[in-house]
Amino acid sequence: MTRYILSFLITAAFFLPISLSLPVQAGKGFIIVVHKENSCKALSTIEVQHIFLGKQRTWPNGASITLVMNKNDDIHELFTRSMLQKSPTQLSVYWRKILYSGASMLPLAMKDDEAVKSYLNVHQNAISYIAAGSLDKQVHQVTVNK
Amino acid sequence: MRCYLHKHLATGSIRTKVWTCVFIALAGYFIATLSSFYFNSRQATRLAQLQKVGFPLALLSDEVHRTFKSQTEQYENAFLTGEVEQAIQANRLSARILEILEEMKKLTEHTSLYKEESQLIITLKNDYTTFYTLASEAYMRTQSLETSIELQKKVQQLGSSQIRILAAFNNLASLLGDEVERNIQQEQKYAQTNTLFLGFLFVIVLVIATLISRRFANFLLIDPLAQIQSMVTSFALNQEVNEPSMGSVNDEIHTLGTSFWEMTQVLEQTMVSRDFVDNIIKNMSGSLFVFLPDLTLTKVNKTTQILLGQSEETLLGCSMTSLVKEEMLPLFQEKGIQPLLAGEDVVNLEIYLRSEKRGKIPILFSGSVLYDQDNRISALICVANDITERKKVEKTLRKIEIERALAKTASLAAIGELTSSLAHEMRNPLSSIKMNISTIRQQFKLTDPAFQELAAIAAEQSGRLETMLNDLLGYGRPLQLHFKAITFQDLLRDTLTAIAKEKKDKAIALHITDDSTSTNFQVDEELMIRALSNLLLNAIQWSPQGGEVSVSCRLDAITPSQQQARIEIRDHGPGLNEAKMDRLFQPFMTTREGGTGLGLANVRKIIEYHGGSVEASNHPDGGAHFTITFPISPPPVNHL
Repeated sequence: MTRYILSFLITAAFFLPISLSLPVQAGKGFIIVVHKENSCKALSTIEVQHIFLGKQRTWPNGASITLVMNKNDDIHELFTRSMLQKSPTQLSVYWRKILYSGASMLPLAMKDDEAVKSYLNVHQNAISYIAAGSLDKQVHQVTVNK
Repeated sequence: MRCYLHKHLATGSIRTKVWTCVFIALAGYFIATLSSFYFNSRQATRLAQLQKVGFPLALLSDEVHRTFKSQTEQYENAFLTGEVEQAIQANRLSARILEILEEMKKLTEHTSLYKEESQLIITLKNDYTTFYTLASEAYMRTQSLETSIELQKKVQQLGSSQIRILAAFNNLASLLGDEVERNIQQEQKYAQTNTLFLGFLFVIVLVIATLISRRFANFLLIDPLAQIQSMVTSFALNQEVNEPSMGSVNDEIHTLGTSFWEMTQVLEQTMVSRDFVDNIIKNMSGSLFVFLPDLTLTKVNKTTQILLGQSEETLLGCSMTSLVKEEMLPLFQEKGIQPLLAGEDVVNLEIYLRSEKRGKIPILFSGSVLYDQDNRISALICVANDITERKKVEKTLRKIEIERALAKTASLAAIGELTSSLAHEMRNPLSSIKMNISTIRQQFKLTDPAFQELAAIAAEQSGRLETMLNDLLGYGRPLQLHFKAITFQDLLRDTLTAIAKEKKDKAIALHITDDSTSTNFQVDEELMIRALSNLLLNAIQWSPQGGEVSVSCRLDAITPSQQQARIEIRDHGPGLNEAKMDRLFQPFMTTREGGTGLGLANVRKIIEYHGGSVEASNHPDGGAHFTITFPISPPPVNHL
């Protein structure tokens, strides 16, 4: 019991500053990006969810998907909540469980959109999300269809 | 085997045979019980192993599975929350898990049935030890997870190991649980099969034991008893029994059979004897009467039924006295029944039986007594011989005798008449001669002795001639009997009076035996005294001086209704001349000097006129022995 109360308090402490300082941007505040030569041009919401929850591990050509989490809190929270229907904490626990079960390593984490774009620029099979306004030629945007 | 049975069992006692059958049944029961015991023991061993190894292994495997699962949950919590305390708690469970695995390893080492599981446990223990070594260190520092790829790899590796070990624990638990379940099902199935098998075995053993017991019982008991039954049936139907085969004296059934056979042999002999006796009784000419001690008739033969003209059913149960004519009852009581009841035999007692058809039947009755084992009278065996024909013959003979006597009497009468006439004619001259001689002797005193002697001789011879003539006159005349009742004592007294002088002269001692019981004799007293006097005088004359003469009298039964007197006179003289014995009673037959030869002839004449007879013989001890017999009542001849 103590364990659950402690976990709740930690989670609350983690989300409290975010909810107070950054207003959640609903809708099109982020975009899904891949390597500019990646043939994937569009993904459904379900496919996006499957990829970022580790349920789809390969691209259609068979190459392993490299997940890259954007540590930009606003984008990250906006992405997890609107796209994955999870809080960042829940997503963190989710991936820890996957790691604990030995199924997969934790996704890579980049500190901001630039770091993400830089990484995707050199990693052909990587996928991530960035703020919509940060899109440039380094990466290629993937359209998300409902 | 069969020889053995014949030798040892078939000749054994009933106890041995019964015990043999019981032993066979017990042997069958023992085999069935032993089989049941064997199968139950095997099952008990397996169940014991299941209890000691299978069940603990299953429980321990389940426990180790649950403990490891709990440990992984705690590690997961520690990993997710970063709580070191959780990891420490999880680490503590490792000791228990290793302990359980060690315990399971030891359990599987003692049996060969869990080799696979044992190997699995050892592998699992090694894997777990590796896992634990990594986990106890890795989960203690998960706070640097996001920054340490190496740690992530380790956690991923632990995750894989953990899933594999958990699956192995689960597999082991399932394996051991299934093994227990499988063993239980197997034992259940085995128990069912065993029950069926034992039931079948019991039935088979029961059938076999029953068949063998029946076979033995038939061979040892039923067949010998059936043989005896066959002997009994055969004997009952045909009176034929075969001798049983040889057997042991210990075999009661054989002994029974032998005893029965011996009994039949004795019985057969008895039956033969009985048939023989029955044949004798059936074919005997005499009539058989068998009376009980209470004089009830209990058995008769065919001759008796023919004699009395009555059937056996009518006769049986009759009293002995009811068969005898009323007038014979006193005599029969005295001479027949009383001696028989006193145990004496009765021989040829002449009586008359009652008969509705024939009135009365003369028989000669004889009887003897049959005793039982306690020496008590059990029956009176009596035989009656019908003497009707004999009686008829006797009657005819008597008639002939009477006729002969009459003829003789007639001739004697004629001779007597002639003799009397001659004697009478001679007596007058003789009287004249006698008187003249007397006169001459009185008138002429004869001095010459020679003349005196001659005169005396003439007188004596004249007297003798006169006596002879008187006897001749007396003998020649027919007698006229005047019967009178007189006892033997009176007769003897008067006779002794008549011969008193001669008796006294020779000093004769008279020995008298009187068994006549003062019975009255119907006789002519004078003639009978004369006859007795003649015989006694004869005895006295032939007796030596001072000699002894015996006189006895008794009664004899000549017919059932008639008795005769028997008077015997014996002297101790020289006895009778055997050469002249047959002419002793003829007239003028004398052996004594001076005798007329008419004494004994007169005796016989008198006695025969009384219907009796006179006999003479020499006594074995010396001396003459005269016997006269005459009926004590007047003979029929006098009434004819």
